[in-house]
Amino acid sequence: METLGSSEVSEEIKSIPEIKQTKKSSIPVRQTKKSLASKKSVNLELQRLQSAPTMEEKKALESSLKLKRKKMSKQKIKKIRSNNDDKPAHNLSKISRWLHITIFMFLDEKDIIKCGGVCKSLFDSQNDEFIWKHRLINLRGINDFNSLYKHYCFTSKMHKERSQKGREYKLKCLRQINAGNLMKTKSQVLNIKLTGHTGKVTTVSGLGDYLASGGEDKKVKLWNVKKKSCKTFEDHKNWITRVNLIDDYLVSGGADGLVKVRPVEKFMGKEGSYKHPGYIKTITQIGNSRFLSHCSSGSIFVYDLFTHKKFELDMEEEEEKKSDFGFDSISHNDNIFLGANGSTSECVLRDMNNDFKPFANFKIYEDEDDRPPVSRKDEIATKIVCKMISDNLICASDYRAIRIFDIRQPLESPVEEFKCPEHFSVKIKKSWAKDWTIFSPNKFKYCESKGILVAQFDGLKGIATFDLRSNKPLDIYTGHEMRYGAFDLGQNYLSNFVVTSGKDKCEQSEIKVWDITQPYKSHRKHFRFKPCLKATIKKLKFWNDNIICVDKSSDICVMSFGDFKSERNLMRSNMIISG
Amino acid sequence: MSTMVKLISQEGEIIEVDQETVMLSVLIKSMIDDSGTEEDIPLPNVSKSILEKVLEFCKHIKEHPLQEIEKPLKSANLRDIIPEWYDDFVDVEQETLFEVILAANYLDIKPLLELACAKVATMVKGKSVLDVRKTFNIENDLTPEEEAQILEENKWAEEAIQ
Repeated sequence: METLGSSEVSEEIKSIPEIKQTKKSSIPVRQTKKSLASKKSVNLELQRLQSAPTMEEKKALESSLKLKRKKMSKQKIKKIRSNNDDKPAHNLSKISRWLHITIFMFLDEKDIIKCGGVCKSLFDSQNDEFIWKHRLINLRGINDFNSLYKHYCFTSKMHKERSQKGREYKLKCLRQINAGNLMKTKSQVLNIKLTGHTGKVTTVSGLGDYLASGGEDKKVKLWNVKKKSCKTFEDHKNWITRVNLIDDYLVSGGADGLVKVRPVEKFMGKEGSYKHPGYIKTITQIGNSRFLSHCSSGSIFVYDLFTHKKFELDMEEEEEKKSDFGFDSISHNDNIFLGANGSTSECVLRDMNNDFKPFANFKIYEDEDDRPPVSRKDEIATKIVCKMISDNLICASDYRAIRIFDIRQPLESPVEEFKCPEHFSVKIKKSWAKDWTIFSPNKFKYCESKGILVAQFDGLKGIATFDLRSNKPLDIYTGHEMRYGAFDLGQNYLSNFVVTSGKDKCEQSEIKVWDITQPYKSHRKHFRFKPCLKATIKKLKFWNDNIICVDKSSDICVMSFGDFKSERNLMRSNMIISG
Repeated sequence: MSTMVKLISQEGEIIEVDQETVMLSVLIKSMIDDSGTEEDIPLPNVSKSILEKVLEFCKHIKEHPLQEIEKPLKSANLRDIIPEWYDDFVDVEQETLFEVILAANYLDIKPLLELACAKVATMVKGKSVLDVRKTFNIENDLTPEEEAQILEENKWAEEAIQ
């Protein structure tokens, strides 16, 4: 019983003792029933008749075992076994669900699913929550499972519910395996062009085999790169502001305020839809299988992909401070929700484990007089980008600098401040520099495993890195001759790689890959990729070890550089998927 | 000096065993904890032949500990994973095997339950649906809708796991 949970796991999950209880209480009862019904009343006489052969068989077995010890050949046992082929009273389909699960624990995913096709009882057992939860722990590691569990701590006792939830977990498992396989199998550089949008592509998201995109043509497209297929959804009434692939769902939000939730494969779940008063600014996953949507009028909804229920956050406190435009940016970690409001230059912290109740707020700059320069567009000048970069650190930037705050210390004073390092001589056009005495931070990403903050500053044709462990600027990676476009930081095993896009001398768009643990100078012989798009890449997004590139056109380019450390693999195959 | 306990099988026969041996069963252990070793322990769900087999296992495991079987199984042949004796022990006719599983579950003997279930798992591992039905003599009682659903799911799973 406990081995199923495998000792350390069983400590973590209370649901196992629960199952243990159900098992202890229900199974013996069922067995007594069975033994009463099938054995005692119906088979009583048969049983007596059968007792003789079983005794014989028993003796045969015992003797065979003795023979075995005397190192006799195995053939004799086989003979004994084959003599006895009566139809068994107990067989695989008739034992309880718990025993099915115990057996399934010894099988791999493929065999478990296959068993579902054998008969009804195995079909039901095969979908059980317990099996797939356990698989998911193995695949994702216990930490990830905890947050899944936190939200989902009540294991239902009804078989039907268990099956439903089990199926959800099963699909997650398959997805996880799928994503893992994708990462393993890449070996050549692909350069896939996805054509089909009739307007500018505004948003992309990738997960597993799937890539979702939305554009100004009001269309949401779901591409399957492996199958080379594409599905188009045209139920938004205005252009698409956000798409996001979360677990097994495609979530899209538009300028019409509609949020649509649909499973990537029809059989995998239910569809859902709801409306915000303003246009959708953010759709982001919070914890496992929940996401949060935020609109321009400030309302925030949290949607649960398991139960398909949503609730709206109580925004009263923010409303008093008249934030008509919602948060500039939103971020979160496992426990804390963070929203930043540029017009008041304030950040708000909410407790996600306690119904999103606000518990702190702070100004990222204390002195109100230090207003943004007038010559710059107001919108940009007041904008704050904030991010929870670890359990305790908040990184927030406005036009002046990037500031790091630690929630364990008084939030009024930042623990560190980063500006674009001046000692790196960066060539910028004179006309640009007129009003820009400082380089304003634009976008930043944090590589948690290395403790490196990667930031892009206005006017800097590349990215700058800062070490948050020693709080020192590290290096600047500039390499694009003509123009800089966008950057993204790799995920998982690529977490120390940054891709930047820009234009080379001949005004051709290019992508460069940087290892941020290595100094800029060591990148003399690094890799450049030419995506099949003409204009400067405005959006770059990692997707497993592929990069999704979007420029101002209606096409999307997916580049997979595979093992880009060895040049041999840089063979390019061009492919176009149209949808 | 070890204490003996009396177990009563389904057929009403009394089997006397060493207390240490049967303490492996959580059910019997809790019964002994409740009412001591004096009283007989009725086990109406376990037949004599199976009870003897279970006790054989209990005696053996005391002297030759069995390591926990790794999940999922690495090989379809138990002999590669566990000592020969244990493989022989579960290399029995199907009905007996399932009765052992039911008994182990009822008596709550974890290592035995795992061993027997692992054996069943080896009989399923890598086989087709039809083979599994044939091996275990199971009739297909799925509705066409359910079958269609599984087919779709399986297809998807096949693609995911290569």
